[in-house]
Amino acid sequence: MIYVAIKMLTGDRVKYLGIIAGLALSSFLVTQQLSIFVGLMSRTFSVITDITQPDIWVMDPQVKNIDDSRPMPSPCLYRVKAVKGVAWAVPLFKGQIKARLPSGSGYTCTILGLDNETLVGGPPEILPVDGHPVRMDALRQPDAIFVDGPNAKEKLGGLKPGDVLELNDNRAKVVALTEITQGFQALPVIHTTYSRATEWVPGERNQLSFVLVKAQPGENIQALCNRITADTGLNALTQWQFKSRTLWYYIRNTGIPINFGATVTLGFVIGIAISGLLFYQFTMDNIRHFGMLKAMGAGTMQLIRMILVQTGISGAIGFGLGMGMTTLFKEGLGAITPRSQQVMLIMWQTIAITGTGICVIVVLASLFAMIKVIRLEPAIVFK
Amino acid sequence: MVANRQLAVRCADVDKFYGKGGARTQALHGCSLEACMGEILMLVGPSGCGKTTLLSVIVGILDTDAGDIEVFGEHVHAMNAAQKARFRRKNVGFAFQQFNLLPTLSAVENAALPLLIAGEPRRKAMQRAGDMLSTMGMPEKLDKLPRELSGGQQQRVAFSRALVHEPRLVVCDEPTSALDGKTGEAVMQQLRKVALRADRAVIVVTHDPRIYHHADRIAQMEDGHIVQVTMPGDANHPQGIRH
Repeated sequence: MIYVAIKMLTGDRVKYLGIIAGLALSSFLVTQQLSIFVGLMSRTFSVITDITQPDIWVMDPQVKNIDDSRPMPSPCLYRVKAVKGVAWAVPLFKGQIKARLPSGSGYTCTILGLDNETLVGGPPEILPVDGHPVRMDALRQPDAIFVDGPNAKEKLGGLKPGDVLELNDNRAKVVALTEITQGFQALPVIHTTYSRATEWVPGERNQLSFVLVKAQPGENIQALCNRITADTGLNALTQWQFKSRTLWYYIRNTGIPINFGATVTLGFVIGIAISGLLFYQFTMDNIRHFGMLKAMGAGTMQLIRMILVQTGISGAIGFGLGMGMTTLFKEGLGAITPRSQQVMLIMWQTIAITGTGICVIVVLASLFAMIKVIRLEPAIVFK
Repeated sequence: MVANRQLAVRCADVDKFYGKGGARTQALHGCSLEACMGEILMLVGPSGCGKTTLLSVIVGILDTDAGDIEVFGEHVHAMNAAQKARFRRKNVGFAFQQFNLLPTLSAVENAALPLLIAGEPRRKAMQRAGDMLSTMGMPEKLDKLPRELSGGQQQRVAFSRALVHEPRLVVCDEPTSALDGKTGEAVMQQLRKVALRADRAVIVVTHDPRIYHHADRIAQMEDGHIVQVTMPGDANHPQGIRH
């Protein structure tokens, strides 16, 4: 009877395609919007993502997210270093600075000042210059900076290694371009040394944004966080905790989740409305045939299985097409604006959520049809 | 005649009501009837006299309100819904007025439906359905969709579907009403030739007098009960109209 169910479903091409299209559109909308949402939200903690060496980030207790740096007094670094279980602790400066380009135009950039000695906190990838790899040490050259490649090209007038620009009236020389995770504000990111960054950025009395900490081997990270907080009065978070705090700050304090949530809900409703109603209509159109099968001795469970096969197949094909459409959308976006493509982050969790949503739509559509068929009087065939 | 043959169906004092309260109407009124193995019994009478209702209660797709029905010695109305479905699946073949072929299935697939419902493997079911369609004179139309067939051909597919699982009782509801006289005569001849066996009863509900001569007995209904049962040769046997 599975065979009969499939032939019944696919025989009416228009309705079949309508059901599939509704499910595919729903699947596409939900996945695409969720992927953009996830991609956008993951950008809020891009700096934390890119700095992988430390286990722990130490900050002022009032800090709410990575962009909300509240400078601490310099001695805080030594207090953290003194905590038992700390292998090393280095300073990190994070601020904003105005860049004046050779053309005379200006642009606000994020500047990261890395520990002078260790250069911990550098970009995940430094692009080769003239085919030669560039090491982190290049930052030790006079006035040296790294600039993130895509932004150097798009926003900073095509800066390239060797170019000179002004950062708050200070001469800065680009020694290499970098590949980094794009940030939420999409500002160009400049890496330089801690001392240079704190010198260039118009200062407050305190300039230590974060202390990056590596735990000694075998040390329990959470226990060390607790110890640092207890000993110094500062807030110590694991990388994951700091990401989470940043993410939730943006979720709670911006309208982004509501906007994306509304579109995702819309996608779900479209799925229910189009596919659910079309499938119900499909069942009603075939109600006489279901009645005939019932009269001929088909059991209720047989008919329910037929309906589940019909909705299940529609759901699976619609879901697959929706995923395909999402991938094509992402690739298409990449062909037009490569950096926009990065906004979409298709995670397996997103696919699972969409799959669950499609299952709910399919179950609801099946339920309406099943109720109709279960209550169906087979005597309808003689009318 | 009834006394000498094995009974297939026995209805005794069957009542059937539709609706409730003021809208309650009685469709069957103390209806009694017997159908024997090896005969074609026609139920005739004016529209609304209860022919189709009687057919429906005989095969257990409608419940009775009073009376007793035995089909092959089994009390169908004492069965639960699943048992009734099983009973119909095994023992009853249906042919309907509008054929009720699934439009998206081919002729052979439509004819194989009772076997598929019974859980027979698809390949075997198609083989048997193909054989039945060949017996019904349609060997070259197996893969045609219903819309590609004439009315007479569609009815032959419907008869094939009714007979493919070799049921002991075949019920036909107005099998020729949608066909012209010549085609109706041809499909009835085919039905008689293929369906009628010593171990099988055929009940045909009709008000088409053109096919009366195919009946072994004719039961006339009026106002929800049988008023007379006649055989060819009886003085009051309906003569019908022959083409």
